[in-house]
Amino acid sequence: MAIQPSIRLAGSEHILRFEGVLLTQATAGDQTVNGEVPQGAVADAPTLIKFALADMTDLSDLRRRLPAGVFDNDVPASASRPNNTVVGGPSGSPPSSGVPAGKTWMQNVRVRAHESSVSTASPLIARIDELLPVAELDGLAGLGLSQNTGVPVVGITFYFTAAGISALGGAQPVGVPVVIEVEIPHTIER
Amino acid sequence: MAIQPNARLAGSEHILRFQGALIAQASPGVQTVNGEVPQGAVANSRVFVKFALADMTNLSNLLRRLPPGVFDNDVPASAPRPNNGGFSGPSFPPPPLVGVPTGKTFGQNIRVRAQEVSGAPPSAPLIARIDELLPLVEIDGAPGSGLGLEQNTGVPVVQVGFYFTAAGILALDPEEGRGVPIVLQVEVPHTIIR
Repeated sequence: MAIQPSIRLAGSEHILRFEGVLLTQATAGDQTVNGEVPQGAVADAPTLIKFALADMTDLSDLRRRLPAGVFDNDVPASASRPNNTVVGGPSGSPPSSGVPAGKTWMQNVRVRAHESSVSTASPLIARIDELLPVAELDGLAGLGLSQNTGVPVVGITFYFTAAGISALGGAQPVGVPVVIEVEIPHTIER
Repeated sequence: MAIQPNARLAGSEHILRFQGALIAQASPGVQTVNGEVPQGAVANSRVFVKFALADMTNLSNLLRRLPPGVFDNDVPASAPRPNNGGFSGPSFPPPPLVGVPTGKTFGQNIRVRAQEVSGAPPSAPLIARIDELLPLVEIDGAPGSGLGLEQNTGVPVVQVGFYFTAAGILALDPEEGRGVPIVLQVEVPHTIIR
């Protein structure tokens, strides 16, 4: 089940929220839907999950939720469009020895996230690497969600527990409830 | 024991910090004091704890620590005062339902950062989780209204969901426990930079 961003927080031009449950993708392969977990995830190991910064429900009516001005590649408007080949983020090669890399907005992406299940007796997520997101532009195969929309996509690394892996898939998957907030500060205040 | 906000961070007009120990309230009932934990909290289940965005020690000399301009209900100054009728927040209703941003602009944009600061080893925490991204906001209302701390001050009040461990529940006990030390920071971004 995909998790699409909710409406902007009170008209915020910098923040998108994703709220819902993570589930394992039905068919193995590249992740093509917002917030689906690639098959093969194992407990206590990093799993990268991607979130496009737009509601990707209908690609023919793509609602890009953050305005172009947030991304400094569009400032000034006469600047060339960003290309689709670069991966960036505040830590270019996580988790070891990464340095800020890529487009300015990629380096400045901020992620806040936590599990939102109703009890903490048996955590489903052991860790979320909030400070190590990777960012890219949705492109052809392998870049972003492989939908070639050009929408910015943020990848976040999750470490699920064994209980979390069971909740993600299996015979009767119930999903892992999460809430995620992605902020791209305006370049003048980064 | 109440936790009142300390002085603004270097004169910040957007951020309040609360630092101290959470303790369960001495008598059952609605929470009327900043940072007290309602009785009946159980381990690994959410309990909302309220923090008014002001020092509520002396209500006749209320120190409202964030200026009115932070709350967009006062911008422009001629705008009507906020009413007491509803909840705001980035996610309402809170999970397990899937909420959407609701209510006053400042309520939707409130940011909470919090953590335990006890001497307990990380392997034996007192708090299992704090729902930083799911705060609820309301305006302090009259006694019996169920809004805020029911002190009828009109001060914004933020509710934060805590999940205590079994050890945390013991520490909350007002007679035997030493409290659960936390630091909690509430930011209300100015509306022009949300």
